[in-house]
Parts: sequence; structure tokens; C-alpha cells
Amino acid sequence: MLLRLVVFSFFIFASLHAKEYIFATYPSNTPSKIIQALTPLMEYLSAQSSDTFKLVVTKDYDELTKRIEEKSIDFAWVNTKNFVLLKEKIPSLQYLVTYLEHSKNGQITPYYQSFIIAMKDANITSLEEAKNKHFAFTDKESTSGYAYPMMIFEAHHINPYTFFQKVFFLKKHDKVIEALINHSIEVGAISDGTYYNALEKYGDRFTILATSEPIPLDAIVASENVSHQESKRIAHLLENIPLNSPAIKAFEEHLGWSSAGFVRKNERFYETFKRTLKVPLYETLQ
Amino acid sequence: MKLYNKILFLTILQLVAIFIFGIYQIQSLYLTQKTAFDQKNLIQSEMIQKRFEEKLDVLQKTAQILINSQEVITGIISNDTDMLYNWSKLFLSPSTDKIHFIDLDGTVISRGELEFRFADDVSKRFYVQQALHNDTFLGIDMVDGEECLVYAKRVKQYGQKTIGIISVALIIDDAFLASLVEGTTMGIAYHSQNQTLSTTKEQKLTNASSLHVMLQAGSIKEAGFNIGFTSEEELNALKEARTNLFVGIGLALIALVLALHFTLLKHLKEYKALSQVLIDFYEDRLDIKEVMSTIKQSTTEQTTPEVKKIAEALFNMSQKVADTQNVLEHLSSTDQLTSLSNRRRLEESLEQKLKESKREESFFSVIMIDIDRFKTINDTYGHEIGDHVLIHTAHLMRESIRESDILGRWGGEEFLLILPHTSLEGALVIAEEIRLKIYHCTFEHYPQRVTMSLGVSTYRISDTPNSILRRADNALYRAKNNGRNRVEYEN
Repeated sequence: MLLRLVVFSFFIFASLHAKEYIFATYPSNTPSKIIQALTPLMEYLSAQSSDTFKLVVTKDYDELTKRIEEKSIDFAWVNTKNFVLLKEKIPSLQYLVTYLEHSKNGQITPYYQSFIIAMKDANITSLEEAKNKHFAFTDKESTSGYAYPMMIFEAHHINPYTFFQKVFFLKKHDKVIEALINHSIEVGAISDGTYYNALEKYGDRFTILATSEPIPLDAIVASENVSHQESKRIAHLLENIPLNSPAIKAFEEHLGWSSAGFVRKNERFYETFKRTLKVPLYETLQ
Repeated sequence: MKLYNKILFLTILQLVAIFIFGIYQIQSLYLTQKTAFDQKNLIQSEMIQKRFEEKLDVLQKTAQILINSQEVITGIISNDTDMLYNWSKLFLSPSTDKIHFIDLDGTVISRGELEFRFADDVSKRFYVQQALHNDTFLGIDMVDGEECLVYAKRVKQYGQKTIGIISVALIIDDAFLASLVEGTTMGIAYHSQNQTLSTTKEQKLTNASSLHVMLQAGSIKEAGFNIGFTSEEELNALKEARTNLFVGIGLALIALVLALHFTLLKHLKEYKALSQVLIDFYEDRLDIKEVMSTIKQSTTEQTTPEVKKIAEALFNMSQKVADTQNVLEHLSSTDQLTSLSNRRRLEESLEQKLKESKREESFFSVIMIDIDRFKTINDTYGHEIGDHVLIHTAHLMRESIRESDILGRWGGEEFLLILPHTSLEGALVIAEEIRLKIYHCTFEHYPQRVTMSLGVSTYRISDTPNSILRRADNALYRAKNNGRNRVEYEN
């Protein structure tokens, strides 16, 4: 009888303390695909935490930032740059986990890299030999297509806008590959994933001239709404998500991500990105 | 002028008038059509000219729209190949094949038509140099190895500082030329030092003239457009139709004249045949009976109804003439009192018998008969009784002779009887029979016995009418002298 009373009291207590969390992300892909990819994760978290996780896709990154500041959301999926900028803006932001991925080179890593590559037939074997060649970034907003390559150039004391004959912006990593194949440019900056895809598609026709530092993958963060203890509990649930769970499969199915779950790293893991923000922009707009 | 000639002449005159009027009408129609044809070609030429100008206008407007875009200016400054590509590809159209963004060094930043081809140097291209030096270029030049209509213009930041060039080009190819002349009957040809294009592959343009294009001199030498007719089929068809109509009318005229000729011949032949019968009759080549038989022969089943009626009328008329002629002939050869042949008829018969006898070597005899003392009958009983005796005597003699014998009144109370194929002996028998018949006859109004004397002669080879009659008359004289009421014959 006493045991029944204890169980009932616990149930009442738990029911009273069950929360509804808002899990937000910004539209890095088609919103419908993001919803389909993340809904199983929400279901997993709801089931495992006994709380309710409700998914929200904001209009853009600015709205996401604003809502974290307003504390109208509890958890958020952000990319590296967002995380670094948000953390600088909202110090109370809590880091939970980093997304893990099966790399094309066969490893499971919480990061990826940026490569500076050239066509083999251009006979360029080092970054120094690429002087006065045509070069292409993807986009100035791109981490692997611009920020980390700029760190590489910084490390080599190279101002790409003067070092290369001409610097172009092609928006997408795949377009850099196509421009190389078409010999419009001799050198380009791309992500390692793009490079490995190009290897599969065009064969070993590229030379890697330089490799960036690891670029942390996306992070899941919690706002000030969530207690430190609660955030740890949720981080633990994420870390332990089974690789065969519907949530992991949904990433592959809807976003094409070869997901390997999540890992909790030290916040300093993202420190490298902060350095990209300090790299000279070599402003080209006159 | 003959009727045939008159009809033919008048008809040909009318047909020629119709023919001339027809030719005039056809020629007028041809000239109207030719004017419309020329007008249409003029309109088409102007339309092609207008289309060409529109193509140039599209190039300039496209360039101007892109130049006015702040994103394009930003894209050129920041070498944003992707953004420039995304902008320019929106403006590619059948009238805009190439859009290039070029920096001040002459390096292509982006191509609208080729996403992954850029960064090449075009600074030596004529249109690039012209745009850099003169702000704009509108002309023909080689763009990426193809001859194009090019509009190149400087791109300026804030409307002042030149940051690059935009070139908008339209490839001069068969499709371009075809688009200019689409829906027209004209052709266009492009000729330059590098190539010759034409919408008419094998045919040469006729009445070709240059397209008036306001283009700057470019690097391509001897470049020019010519427009003209692809073929003169339409005009030729018009000319051919005119010729065909002329020939058709001409042939119809000839056919009509021939048809008229043969129709006239057919109908006039029948009329002519009838009129010829009448002419022959008038000129004594035909007698009335021959006229009748000829008319009868000339009307057949094929004879037209009009001619048949005329022929019938002529036939009936001839029939009446023949009847009248017969009556007259009868009257002229018959003695009115006795109804026997008169002397003229007897003379003709005698002459004919002489001819027949000579020709056929046959023979005949004549009997000269005279009523005895007839003057006494007249004097005693009057002429009325005398006539009665003559009539009755003639009647009795006719009864006594053969069908072939010819009996006539020679004059007064004298009769002549010609007996074909009768010898002297036979003639004597017949003469005796006649004498006896009259002698024994009793006259109704004359109570006395009537006697007659008869002189017989027969044909001799050398006879003439007078000689044979003289011998018969001599015999008659002897019968009179020998007591009358008797028959005597020639010595």
C-alpha cells in the first residue's frame, strides 16, 4: 500500500514537472526537409526525457538569434559560425553536443575540413606555385569555402586578392569543382566532402595544396531557460542516441547526412573558428 | 461579198474585240497584282529592317537593364561569378545568345550562357577595346569564336567610375537569319570575310538590296546583310497565268473561228445546193423535172429542218410549174376542135420518126387523109355541122388506129396518120379500113354519106419530111382524081 502511494506520488510529481521545450533551427535546407529530418529526433527526446519537444524552424538566422535572446526557445541546432557568434552575443548560451558524421575518408569525426585544391594537369604542387593563377572561393559566408581557407592563406602570409591573378566567388562547392574541370580556374577552395565526391565523380585529378584546421560540425545549444542540470540530462540523451534509431536514419533519408550521432566536446573545440573572424577580410569593395 | 465571208468576217471581228478586251482586262489584273506584289515586298523589306533594329534594341536594352542593377555592379566588383551568372541567364533569349561580364583587365568574370567558363582574357577583342575607349560598341565582332552582333558597354559604379564591361551578343547564324525573314517570302544573306550564310541555301537572292544597319565598323571585314526574293515563283506564277490566259483565249478564238467556218460550210452547202438547182434551171441546164429530182435527191435525213422546208417548198413550186408546162405543151400541140395533134405536133412527130428510122434502120408509113367535098358540107349545112363532121370523123379514125399510131389534123379537112413500123401494105390495109369505117358511118346531124380520099406513102432512106409527105399528097391527089372515096399509094 505504501509502495503504491509512493509510485502514485512520483507519477503526480513527474506530471507536474513535465515540461514542453521548444527546439528551434534555422532553414539551412528546405524547411519541409528539415522538419522531416528533425521530427524523429524530437520524438526521441520527448520519449526519453518525458518532456515534450516541439520543433520550430525560424525564418532565418536572425530570427533564431532574436528568439534565443528573448528566451522564447529552449534548444537550438546551430552551425559553427552561428554558435560562435551567438556565444559571443549571449554568454549564458549552454553548449550541449556536437553533431558527429561518418567522414568520406571512413572516420567518424565531429568536424570536417577545408581543402585548397588544384587540377593535377595544372602542374601546381604547392600553394606558393599557385601565384598569379585564377582562384575561386564559394561564398564569403561559407565556413569551409571561405573562412577556413582564409585562415590557410593567413598562415601562409598570403593575401589571395593580390596573390592570385583573379579571385572569383562561385557560391557552391560543386561549382568550384566544375570550374576547375572546365579550366576556368586553376585553384579553388572547397570542403573535404566536396573533394571526396569529386574524386568519385572525376577520379584522382586534383592535387590538395593545403588543408585547414578541423572545422567543428553543428552544435546543439540550450538557452538560459533550461537549467544547467536539465541541459546536461538532454545532452546525455543525445550522446546516447542509438545509431540505428529513426532519428539518425531520418538525417540520412531527408538531408543526405551520414550521421553518427552526437558527442559532447569542450566548448574550446569551437575556439578555432573564432580565429577566422580575426583573419583580415582584404576588403575588395572599393 | 459572199454570205460566208460576211458572217465569218463579222464574227471574227466580234471575237477579236472580245479577245482584245480580255487581254486588256488580264493585263490590267496583272499590273494590279504586280503592284500589290511589289507593295508586299516593300512592306516585307521594312518588316525585316524593323526586326533587325529590334534585335539591336533588345541587345542594348538587356545590357542597360543589367548595368542598372546594383547586384550586377556588386558582382563585378567582387568577382561574384555565380551571382552574375544567375542574373545574366535570366536575360538569355532567342534574341540574346551571350551575356558576358568583363573586368577592366579584359578578364571574363561570368558568362550567362556558360556557367563554368570564365576567367579567360578577352582584352584583345575589338569590341572590348572599343567599349573601353569609347564607352559603347554596337557592331559585328567575333565573340567566343562566333560572329555576333555585339553590344558592349562600360559598367560604371555610381554612374561615374568604370568597373568593367558588359557585352550582350547575338550569334549571326542560320537561325538568326531565319528569324528575320520568318513569315515573309523574302530571303536574307550574310556575308563576311569568314563566312557566308543565307536563308536560301542554293538559290541566289533576286533583286537583292543591302539591309540598312547602323553598326559601327568592327574587326570583321566586308560584313553585310542583303535581302531579296527567295524566288520569283509568285511573280512567275502571275506571268504564267497571264500567258496561259492569253494562249487560252487565242486558242478559243481559233477554235471558235474553225467551228464557225465548218458550221457555215455545212449549213450554206445545203442552201448553196438548192440555189445551184435554181440557177441551173434558170440557165437551162436543167428542166423542171430534173429540178424536182435534184431537189429530192439533195434532201437527206441529215438535212437541217430549215433547208428541208425550203426544199419542200421549192419542190412543190416546181411541181406546179411542171403541171402548168404540161398543160401548155398539150394545148400547143393539140387541135382544139378535134382534140387530135395539131400540125406543129405532127411535123415534130414526123421529123422524130425520120430520125428514129434512120438511126434504127426501121420503117414507117404515112397516110394523108382528106374528107371529100367538105366545102359543100360547110356551105350546105353550115360550119357548125362541118365541125361536127370533123369531130366525129376524127373520133372514128382514132378508134380505128393503134396506140402507137399518131393521128393529127393537118389542116382544114385534111388529116395525117403516121404509122410506126408499118409497111406500105399494112398502111394500105389500115387506110382501107378507115375509109370503109367512115363510108359506112351515119352522122347524127349530117344526113349525107361522108367519104374520104387517102394517099399512102412509106419511108425511104433518103426521105425528108417534105419528100415523104409529097408522095403521100401525090397519092391523095390521084385518089381525088380517080373518083374520090378511095385509097391510092405512092408510085
